[in-house]
Amino acid sequence: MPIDVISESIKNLRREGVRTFLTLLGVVIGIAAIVSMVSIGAGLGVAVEQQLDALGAETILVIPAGVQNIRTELTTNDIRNIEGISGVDNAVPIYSESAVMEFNGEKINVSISATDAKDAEIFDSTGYFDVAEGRNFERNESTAVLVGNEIANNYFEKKINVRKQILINGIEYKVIGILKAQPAAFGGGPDTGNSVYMSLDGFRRISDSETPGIIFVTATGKDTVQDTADEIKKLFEKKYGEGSVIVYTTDEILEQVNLLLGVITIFIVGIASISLIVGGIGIMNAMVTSVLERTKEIGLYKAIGAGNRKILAIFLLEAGFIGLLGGIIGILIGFGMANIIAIAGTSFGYALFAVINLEIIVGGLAFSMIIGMLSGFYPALRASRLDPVEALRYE
Amino acid sequence: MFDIVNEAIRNLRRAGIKTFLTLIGIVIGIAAIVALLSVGAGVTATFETQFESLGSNTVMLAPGDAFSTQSSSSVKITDADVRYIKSLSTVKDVIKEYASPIAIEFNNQKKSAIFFTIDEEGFDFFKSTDFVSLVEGRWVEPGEASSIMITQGMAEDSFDREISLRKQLTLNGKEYKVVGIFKLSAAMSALGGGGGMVLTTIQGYERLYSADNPVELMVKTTSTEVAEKTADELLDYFEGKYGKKSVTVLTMEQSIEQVGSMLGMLTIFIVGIAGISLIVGGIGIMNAMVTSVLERTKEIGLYKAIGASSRTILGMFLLEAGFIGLLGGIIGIILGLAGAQLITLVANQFNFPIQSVIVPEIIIGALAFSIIVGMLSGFYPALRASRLDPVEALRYE
Repeated sequence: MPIDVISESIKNLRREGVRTFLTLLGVVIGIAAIVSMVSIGAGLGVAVEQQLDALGAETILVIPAGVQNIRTELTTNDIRNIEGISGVDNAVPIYSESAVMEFNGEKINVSISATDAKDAEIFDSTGYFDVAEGRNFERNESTAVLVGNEIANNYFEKKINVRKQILINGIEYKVIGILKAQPAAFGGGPDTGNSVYMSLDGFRRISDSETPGIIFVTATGKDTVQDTADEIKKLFEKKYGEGSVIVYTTDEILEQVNLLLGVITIFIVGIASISLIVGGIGIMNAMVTSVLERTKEIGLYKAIGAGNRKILAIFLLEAGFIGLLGGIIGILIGFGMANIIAIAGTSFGYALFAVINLEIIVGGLAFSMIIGMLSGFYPALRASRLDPVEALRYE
Repeated sequence: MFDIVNEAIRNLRRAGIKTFLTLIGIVIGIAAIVALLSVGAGVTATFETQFESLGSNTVMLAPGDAFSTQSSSSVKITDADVRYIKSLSTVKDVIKEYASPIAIEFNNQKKSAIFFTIDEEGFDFFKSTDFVSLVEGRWVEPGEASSIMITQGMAEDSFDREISLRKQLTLNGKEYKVVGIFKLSAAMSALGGGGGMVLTTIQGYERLYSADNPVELMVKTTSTEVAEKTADELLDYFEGKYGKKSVTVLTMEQSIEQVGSMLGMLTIFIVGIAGISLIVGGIGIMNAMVTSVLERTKEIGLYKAIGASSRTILGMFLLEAGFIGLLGGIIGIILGLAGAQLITLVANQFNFPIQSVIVPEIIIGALAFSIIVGMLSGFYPALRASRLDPVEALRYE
C-alpha cells in the first residue's frame, strides 16, 4: 500500500475534527458494548471450568431428573449397581431431606445433606466444604453439623455462630463450623450456602430416607470416564426410562454450560450489534459528506493522474481507519466496562470476572474494520466515479 | 413560528441522502426497542390471561420456593393439612394435584415423564383454566382407571414412532390407553412442565401411586376480597408447622405480579442493550447537524443580518433535529411493530406460544423518546449556530 494514500487518509481525518470524533464515538460505543458482553460471557465459562477442575476429570455426577420435588427416586440398590460397573472406583451418595431448623426461637425450613464420613474425602479437593469458622467433621460425629454461610448469616434474625446449639426437627445438634461462601456460578458445584451438612449417623437421627439425591461417582481412569458414564446412563435408562436420570462427566457439564453461555452470549451480542450497525451508518454518512465537500479536490487528483482505484482506496482506507481506531478504543473501554460489571457482580456474590483474550481482540478489531470499510464502500465508489471535469467545476 | 417549521423541513429535504442515513440510525434504534418491548408486553399478557383463568379467588400453595431453582423443599402436604385448610371459614374448596415421575414403554423404548392428576372435585375446574387445552381426542373421565392423556410434544417427538389416539402405553409396567392429546400453556411450561407429561384420573393415578401427598393445592376462597387474608393464614399455618421457606403461597394477583416483575427485569435488561443503538443514532444526528451548521454558516450570518435573533436560529436547528427524531420515531415504531409480529411468528413456529401486543404507552413513549433524543443531540450544534457572529459568518467561505 503506497504511503501517500495512507498519509492522505490520516490528514483528511484530522482536518475534520468534531465530525471524525463523533463518527468514532458511534463505533466505539458499539464495539465497547459487544466486547464487554463477550468478555463477561467468557469469564463465566472460565469460572465454571475452575469449579469443575476442582472436582476432577474422573468424576461423574448422577442427578435424579424432574422438576421441583417431583424427581426420580433412586435407591441404595442403584448405588450398588453403579459400583458393579467395571470402570467405577466408588459411588458416593448424598442424602438430603428438608427439615425444620430451630434457632433462637425461630423456625425455618432448610435442606439437610449427609454423606458417610468415610466417603467424604473425595470432596477434599473441591473446597466445597472448606470452613470459614470452626472446624470440619473429625469422625462420624452424630450430633455435629456444618452450616452453609447463607443460612448462618442471613436466614435467622440472629447470626448463627460456631458452638451454638440448634434444633433440627426437634433434635439437638451443635454447630461445629460455618462453610466458606462459594461463588454462585451456574452449572458448577452444589448449592452449599443454603444447606446444613451432617454425617450419615447424624442424619439417621432425623430421617430414615434411603433415597440418594446426587451421586458422585469416581471412575477408575480419565480415559475411560466417558465410557463409564455411558454405562451408568444405560443402567438407569433401562430401569427408569430415558431422561429419568442426568448422568454427566465434568467434561460434559462444561460442554453444556459453554453451549448455554454461547447461545446467551450470541443473543446479547446480536442485540448489542445493532448499535454497531448504527455506528456503521454514521461512518457512511460522514464519508458521504466528506466526498461532497472534497469534490473539487477529487477532481484535482484525477486531473493530475490519480486513477479511479486510487481514489477508491483513499476513501476506503479512511473509513477503515475510523473503524479500526474505533475498534481499538472500543475494546479498551469495553474491557474496562466488563471489569466494572465483574466487580459489581462479585459484590453481589456472583462469580463474575472479565476475560480478555486474543480472539476477542482480533475479532473486535476485524469486526470494526470490516464495518468501517463496508460502510465506506458506497461513498468511496461515488468518489472514485466522479467525472474530473465536472468535479473541478463543482462549487 | 410557522416559517421556522417550513425552514426546518426545507433544509432536511435539501440534505437528501445525509438526512436519510441519519434517519436510518434512529429508525433502527427505535424499531429494536419497540419490537422488544412489544414482545415483552405480549409475553406478560399471555401469562396474565392464563393466571386470570384460575379466577381471582384462587390461592396456589406448593412445597418449597416455587420461584427458586435451588434446594427445593421436600415438605409433604398431608391429609391433616388439607383438613385444616378446609376448616377455614373463608375457604370454599381445596383442589389437590398429585404428580410422580414415571417410566413409559412404547415401541420398545422406555422414557421418563411426569404422571399427574387432579382430584375428582377439581377436574372440571382444571379443564376450564387456560393452563391446558385439548388438541385431539377427549378428556379422561372420572372413574376411568386406565385412560390417560399425553402432551402433544410427547405424542409427536418423544418416541421414534408417533403416539396416536387409542394406543396402549405401559406405565411402570401397567397398561393404559391414550384417549386424548393436550397442550400445556406457556405459564405451565415455564414453571417446570417442559418435558413430557401424562394426565390421568385419580383412579388411574392410584393404580401406581398412593394419593397421599399433593404436590400443589389450589385453594378456592369464598370471595376475591378474602383471598389475600386466607393466603396469609395459610402461610402462618405452614410456617408454624414446617418453618419459614417451607411453602410458597400466592394469590392469583401475586402470581401475576411475580411473573410480571421477573419478565419486566428481563425486558429492561434486553431493551437497555438495544437502547445503546439509540444513543449511537443520537450521535449520528449530532454529527449531521454539526456538518449542517458548518455548511450553512454563511446562510446563518445572512439570517442574523436581516434581524433573526439567536433564539430564532437556535429554535430552527433544534426543530430540525427534533424532526429527524420524530420522523425516525414514526418509521421506527412501524417497523418495530412489524418486527414484533415477525418474532412471534417465528417463536410460534418453534412452539413458543407467545403473542405481541400493541401498547399505546409504548408507542407514545417511543415517539417522545425519539423527539427527545433528536433534540438533545441537536442542542450542541444548534447552540453553536445561534452563537455565530453575523459578521464573521457572512465572511465564512
